[in-house]
Amino acid sequence: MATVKRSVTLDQELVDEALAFVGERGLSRALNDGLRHQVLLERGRQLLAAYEAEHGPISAETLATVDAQWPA
Amino acid sequence: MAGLTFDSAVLIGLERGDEAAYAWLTRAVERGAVPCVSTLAVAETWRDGARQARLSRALKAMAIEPVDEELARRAGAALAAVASASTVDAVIAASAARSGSVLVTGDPVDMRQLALGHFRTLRVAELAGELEGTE
Repeated sequence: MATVKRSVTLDQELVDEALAFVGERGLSRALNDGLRHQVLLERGRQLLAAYEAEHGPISAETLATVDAQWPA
Repeated sequence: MAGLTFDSAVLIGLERGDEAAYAWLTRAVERGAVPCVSTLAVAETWRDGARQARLSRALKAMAIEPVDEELARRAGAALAAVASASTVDAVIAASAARSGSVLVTGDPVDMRQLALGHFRTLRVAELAGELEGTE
């Protein structure tokens, strides 16, 4: 996969703590993984918005069925 | 927080606009969980991209888990313990068990047999039903 270099501004304390367990060489990967997670969640939100635009909101009863099974 | 693995039935539900499938996706997104899907579940459901726009969008919102040799061996061991299980189900169950995620399935009877017979820590949730832990 193609990669790109970007200059970003990060919280110093957060970076210091992260470097302790990902290392200098692992920082790009950790940031990439975090970005991927955010992008996938946003795609999920967009998919849900499209579903609700077509079908209306999901019923409280159906959501309650999921909640009853949601892992603790 | 435990993650979720969706089986083929959930993918089919998303493709067909099934409310239960979208309810699982809703709660996952609200709680910051990206659902996982085995590449074998993709193979079971993907037929024609031109006619499966919703499935295509759904897959782009999920983490796709490849089947590597170690996972294949785990699935094979499960098949030895639960002879009635299908290879695809065994692989999907192995994938969920390895990641420690809850397996959301439209086929809870077969998946629970795999949990009881081999993947003892695997938790199985019905696409529409109640959670049953095996621990």
